[in-house]
Amino acid sequence: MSEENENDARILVVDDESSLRLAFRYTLRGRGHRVDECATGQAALEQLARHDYDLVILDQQMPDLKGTEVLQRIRERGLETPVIMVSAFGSSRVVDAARKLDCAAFLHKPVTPQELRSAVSTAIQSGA
Amino acid sequence: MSRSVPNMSARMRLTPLRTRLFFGFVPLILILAVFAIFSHVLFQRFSDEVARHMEQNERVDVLADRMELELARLRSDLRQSEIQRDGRSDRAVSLDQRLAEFSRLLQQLKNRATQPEEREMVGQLANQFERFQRTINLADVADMDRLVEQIGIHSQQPLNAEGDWFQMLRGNTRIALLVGGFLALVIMAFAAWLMVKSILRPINAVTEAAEAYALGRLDHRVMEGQGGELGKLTSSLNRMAAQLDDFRRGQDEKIVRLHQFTETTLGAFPDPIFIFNNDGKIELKNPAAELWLEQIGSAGAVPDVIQKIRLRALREGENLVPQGLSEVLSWRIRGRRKVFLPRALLIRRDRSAGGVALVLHDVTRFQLMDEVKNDLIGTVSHEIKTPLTSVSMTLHLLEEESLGKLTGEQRELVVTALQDTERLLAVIHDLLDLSRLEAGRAPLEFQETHLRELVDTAAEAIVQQLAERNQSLHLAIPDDLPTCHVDVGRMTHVVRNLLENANKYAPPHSTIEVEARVASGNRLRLAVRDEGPGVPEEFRERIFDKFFRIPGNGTSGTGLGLSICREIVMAHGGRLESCHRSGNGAEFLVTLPRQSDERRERE
Repeated sequence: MSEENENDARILVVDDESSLRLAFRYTLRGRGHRVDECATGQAALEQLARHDYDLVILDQQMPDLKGTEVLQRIRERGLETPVIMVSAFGSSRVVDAARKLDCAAFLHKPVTPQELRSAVSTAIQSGA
Repeated sequence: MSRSVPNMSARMRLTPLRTRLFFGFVPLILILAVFAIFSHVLFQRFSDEVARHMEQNERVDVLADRMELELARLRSDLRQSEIQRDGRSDRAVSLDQRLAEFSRLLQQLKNRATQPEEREMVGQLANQFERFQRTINLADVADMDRLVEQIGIHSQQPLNAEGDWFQMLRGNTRIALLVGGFLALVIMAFAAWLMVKSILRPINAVTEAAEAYALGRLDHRVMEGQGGELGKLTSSLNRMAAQLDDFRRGQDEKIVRLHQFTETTLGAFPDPIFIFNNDGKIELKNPAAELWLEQIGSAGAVPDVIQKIRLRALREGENLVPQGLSEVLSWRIRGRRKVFLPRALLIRRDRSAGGVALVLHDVTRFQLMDEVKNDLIGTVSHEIKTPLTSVSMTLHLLEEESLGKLTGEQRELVVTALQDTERLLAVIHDLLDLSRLEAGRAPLEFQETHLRELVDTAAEAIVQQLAERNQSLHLAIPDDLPTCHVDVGRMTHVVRNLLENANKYAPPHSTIEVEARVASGNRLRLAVRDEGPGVPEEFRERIFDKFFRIPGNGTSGTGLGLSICREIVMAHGGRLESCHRSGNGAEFLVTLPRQSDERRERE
């Protein structure tokens, strides 16, 4: 909502864990980014159809769609939005699949605020 | 000379006792024969002497005859001279001649006479003759004539008798000597034969007995009943046989009992057990093994995979004891998957491996439980890890003070909570890693690597920690060590973990040693040794258990490091062990096949 900040970016955080979404939001809000949240992959896809985002942060383990599946749908729609994947069990197979779908970064839980911030700024710069 | 001695003794040994005994008697027989010949010759000479003597006696007889004749002439001369006295001078010459002749004959007779009676008669004759020479009386001639006649008769009478007897004796004695000598020889030979036989019989009996014992007929006994050395020999032999027999009966009983015991035990054992001989044939199998072969649909022959394990144990010259459930073999039995842990034990004979005992431990239930446990660990870890991530992030945000300043007390609490959270996350990370490894869900990325590079990478990672404790690292890795086929990242983790442990438990200013060399069975062996307190014997295997800590060693780390290391090494087809070290300190041995199993099988 706060358009006045030049470094302001619209970020969509997709995770089924509300506590983690909260932690992500506080981490990124400190930087002046605008953060929207979705609890499921389906909701995220709907949200992405309605609004443009500068960055999507996608959790791999979600009840309906896996992070990589959501990513695939995003790419199928022709959206080139930078995507950061987050996973608690990032097997090399998943990481490879995400890389093929042009994922900007793959973060393994536990993630520190520092790691998240640097990944976000790198992704936004590359996407800009 | 000295070289011919052993040959001689060898030949001596080869000569049978019979021959030797026989040749022992030969000198005796020879002496007897020489003695017989000698006595024969002696007797010959003696009898010749007797014959000569007889001849002499004969001459006394002849002399007596001649003297008689001379006396007859003398008598007739004297008669004639009484008729014609005038022719005295002629007659005197004739008489003197006759007297001289008689005197000569008498002298001869004196010389010849040997027997005392003869000598006496000859003496009387000489006296008569002397008187006659003085008197020249015809009457004296008659006396002399009578004496000469007596001498003649005396000499002739015994001579005839003696001569006959001597002749007879001579002939008989020669025959007797010949026959006696021959008989003595025969008797001697017979005695020798008997003696040889009597010596050889017990020896033969002893030999026979020894042969019987060699064939296992320990109830055989040698006939006793003779004294002396041979008697002692036979009785001690019998005693020995009796003792051996008793011993064997005892042993037999033990063996029978052992056999029954083995059979009962093997029969009662629910797991299939195979005993293979040298050629890989089944020497023994328990009922469970027979049933198992039937159930897996293998008629008699064991599956190739079992033979491979047997060969691997022989090749490596070590018992193959499974280190974990990842080494299981599975078969479908009555529609259900059953898993077995193979255990191959070498049966050593004279220090070289002869056969192999192979036990297939049915671990189906264990594996199910293990799977449930791993799933549980996976699920629980995931369930813990996700909220813990947000806890950790929240604490980090607080600690950064990006949301607001903290008081000193708040900060202390947040930092402590953060440390605990991080430790908890590390444990969960290790647990998940371990459950993936155990479940075989952590594929290894094999690469041809030199162990040196791997150790160098691991060592670089702990340079700082080593410096902090003033410890030095000594690497003994030969340059010509063959490369090995490993997941470099995983194996580096193992070496690093072992080095970290050494760093942690060894005292400052000590040396940590890493040695690599080629081991038997186309394997490589890496040893990490330190000068710390070492691993107590009773914990040497337990330290690989999850969360196990040697009592009194603190609670740093997750307690999963060595479990993970062992899982990684096992995933490589190798083994990780904590070994006994003669001196102080711990020693960890990593044994790796030079090639992974899949690769070896492909080739």
